[in-house]
Amino acid sequence: MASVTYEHVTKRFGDVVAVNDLTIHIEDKEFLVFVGPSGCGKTTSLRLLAGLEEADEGNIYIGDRLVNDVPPKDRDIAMVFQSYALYPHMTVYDNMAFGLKLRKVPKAEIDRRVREAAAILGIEDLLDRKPKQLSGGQRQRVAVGRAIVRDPQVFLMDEPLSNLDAKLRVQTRAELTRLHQRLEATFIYVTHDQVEAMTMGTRIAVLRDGILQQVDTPQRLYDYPINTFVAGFIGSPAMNFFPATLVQENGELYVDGGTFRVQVPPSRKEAYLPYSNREVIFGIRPEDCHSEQFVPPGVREARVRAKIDVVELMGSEIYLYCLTGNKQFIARVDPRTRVEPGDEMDIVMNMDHMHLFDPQTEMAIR
Amino acid sequence: MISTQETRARTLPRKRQAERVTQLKGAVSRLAIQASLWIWAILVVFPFVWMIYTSFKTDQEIFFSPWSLPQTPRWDNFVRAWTKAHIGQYFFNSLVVVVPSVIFTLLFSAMAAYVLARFPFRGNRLILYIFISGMMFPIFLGLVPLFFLLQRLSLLNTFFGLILVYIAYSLPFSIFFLTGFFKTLPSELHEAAIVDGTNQWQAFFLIMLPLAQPGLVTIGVFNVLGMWNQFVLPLVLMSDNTKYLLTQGLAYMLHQQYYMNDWSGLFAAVVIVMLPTLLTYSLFQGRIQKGLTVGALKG
Amino acid sequence: MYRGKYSVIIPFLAPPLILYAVFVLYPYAQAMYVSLTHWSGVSPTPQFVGLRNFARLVRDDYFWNALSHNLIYLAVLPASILALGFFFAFLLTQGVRGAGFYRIVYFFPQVMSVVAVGVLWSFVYHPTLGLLNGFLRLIGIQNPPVWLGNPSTALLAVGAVVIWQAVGFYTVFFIAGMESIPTTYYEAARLDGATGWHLFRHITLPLLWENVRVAAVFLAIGALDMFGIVQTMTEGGPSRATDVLGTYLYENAFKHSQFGYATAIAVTLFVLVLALSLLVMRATVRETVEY
Repeated sequence: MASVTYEHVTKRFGDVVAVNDLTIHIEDKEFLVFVGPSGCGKTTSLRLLAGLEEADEGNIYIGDRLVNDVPPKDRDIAMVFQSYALYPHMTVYDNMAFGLKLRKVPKAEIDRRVREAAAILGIEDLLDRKPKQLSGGQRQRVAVGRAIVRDPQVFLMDEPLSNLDAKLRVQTRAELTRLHQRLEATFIYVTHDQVEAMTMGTRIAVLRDGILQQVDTPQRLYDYPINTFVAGFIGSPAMNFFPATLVQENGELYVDGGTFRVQVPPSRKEAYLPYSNREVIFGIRPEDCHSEQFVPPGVREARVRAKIDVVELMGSEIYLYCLTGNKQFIARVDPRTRVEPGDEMDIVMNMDHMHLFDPQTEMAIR
Repeated sequence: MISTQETRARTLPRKRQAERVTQLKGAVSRLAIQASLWIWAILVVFPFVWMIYTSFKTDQEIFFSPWSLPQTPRWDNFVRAWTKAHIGQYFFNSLVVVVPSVIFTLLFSAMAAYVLARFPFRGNRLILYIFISGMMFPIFLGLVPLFFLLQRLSLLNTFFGLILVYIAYSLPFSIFFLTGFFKTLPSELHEAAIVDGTNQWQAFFLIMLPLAQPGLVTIGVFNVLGMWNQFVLPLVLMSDNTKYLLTQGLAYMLHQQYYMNDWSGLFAAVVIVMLPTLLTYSLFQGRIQKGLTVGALKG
Repeated sequence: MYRGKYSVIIPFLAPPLILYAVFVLYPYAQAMYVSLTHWSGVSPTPQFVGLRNFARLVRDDYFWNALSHNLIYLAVLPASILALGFFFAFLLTQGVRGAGFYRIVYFFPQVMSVVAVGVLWSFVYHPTLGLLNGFLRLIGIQNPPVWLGNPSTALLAVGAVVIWQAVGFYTVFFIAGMESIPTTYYEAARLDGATGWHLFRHITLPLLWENVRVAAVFLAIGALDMFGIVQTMTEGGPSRATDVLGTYLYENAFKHSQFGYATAIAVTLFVLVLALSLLVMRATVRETVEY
């Protein structure tokens, strides 16, 4: 059983609380991604699991075993470092064999495992080379290979793709996902890139300032963000936020943003009612803002008049930087839309995908 | 309106003249630069060269024509220097002292520097300062007490005692240098080793120490040169003249010379003494120059 | 990651610390005490005499003689060495052909033991078979001076050797510093109209100032030392014309067995070195320029 459990784990560095009361249970064979901006505690959480840091409070379990006092080498984990950390004075083969040699694994067995891992990663030809003779992508594979060879219960990865160029990154993302499926092991992955998180993780844990914001599947994080931070972090370009008031009129609820007013769909009325006549934050993703010229079917329409500030042609769509009053927001519209900066047009918002947040707590109102 | 071609024609001769002047100025200053460099180069090299070819002359040749080249190279000067003047003995003594001293200085300073550079613990800074402060005290200060200390420990006039002293006094600079060096090594390699399964000792000897090789070579060369050339310590601590090291042996030879008159042998002796250091330098000069300046620049 | 750190910290630090404490720290500490004693090494324990050694020192003409020589060297040597070092460093960074060759060659003297250098120059200075006098006779000077044997020339002669040995090192030192100055500064200055001297004064010198300070301190400390070269070439003679604190100290300790007094001289020397270092550091303080 290779599940991982953090139970009220806290880690401080001097006055800074890097990880604050983290509680999360990760199932066997999951691919869990810790994601968040720099300084959010994701790397520290990983290092706590690795045993490279000691928790100030709380317990960490691998499977059923409490591992707080267990040294890294006995935790049955393997780690891929951001800079790969390949031993420069050893060949690729020796790099991969090192951990096994230390454990006194018989030579034949070491050889078998190294070559097997090398085959999976396509680096059999590189076994006699030294790290400095390898390209970035190749080094990354060796780093992964070194982890595979140990056959651990849990794989830890600290931003393994961040040193690769964009094209290689996309390619390697898919390979890592494939690897996860093939090895059927638990992967704990750290990144600051929400695209990586969304595409690779079975579940994503969003961290901010050491505090776990939300842990859920990518889709649910996207559809039901628990607060403005998660809502703004997941999805690119980020969700549009408008400070507004919830107004009740003729039995209907409206979001009044000052320069526009849109109606709340009936399905949400009951949930939002307690906030009528109060201030709220209205959120709507750019992909749910359409140009009046090309509105897809099935959209619960609400129109906002806006002046177009900047037009970015993306090829498959157009990003419109719109102004309503002096509030800027972004709409991702059909590429056939004909518009110039300075034009005025109606932006049609899909209210079925609206979000409302409490302005004080920043929590979603459901 | 004047055409551009005409303007160009009018300014051209004046420009050319100015160019010629700067070219001339340039040539003269280049010549002056080359000349100064050459003069100093000669000043530096010629005494060595003179030393070397003089060591092949006979006593008469040395006395009567200091400038001329030897008639026939007298290799027996070197033989005499090695045996009768005991340079061979002194050379051997120096080897006996310097080799173990360098090895253990490297080992101990690497161990200390590693721990001081990479492990947080109470007293870390204090211990580092204690070592570094040793660099600021002239060796003179402790000379007399050191003499008596060795005497009390029955280590006076012994190679073992001298080795211990050499190591002790080389620690400050070596630790200073290597601590800076160890700090630049990436932590991730240490961490990867720990995760791979090493204990702290294995992490040091199998991973971090090999990584420190360039720093070790540099400080090793410094120590070899410094210890080989060390004068005061053996002078004070070694009284038996069969145990003299090369430096003090040479000085002894020189001071004896005023009563002996084997000039050619003396010249040959100096050449023998100079050779290892010149050789080491030629082999490692890039490293030496880089290392010295890095250490000094940081300071 | 620092699990089990004490299993390395203690064994790794123990041998060097012990060696250092026994052979370096203890003698230094003891020196302070010994300087306050009268001790000729015959009796097992030194005899405490308070500050008598220092009082004697103040009245000792030979002490002042030696100190005066150190001070003369202090006044002359660092400045000359720095100037020459800078001069050659500057020349060698102007894209001269063979700069690499010069750098290697200039450094030779630094690699030699001070004894070897001393012996070499003893020969060069030899009145009859020496290189220098041979050269002087060649160009027509009939009775060239006996450099090391004549009290009026000995000090100068020894000083010249020190300069000869040190210039190469500081040349290399300054070259390294100069090479670390980004060329963009010079380019910008040239565009602004600066010429050679301006470039030196307004760019090279300020940006290299920290290096100059470090060099100045080392050289100043060296000028107060001078033991090796003097001991080898003249042993402080003739008639104490080249005596320095180091040789005088050595003589008192190991020729006259005046250990207490010698240590008092050593302590004085140490205090002078400290004071001088501080002085030089203070006097050369300028705002640190970071680039």
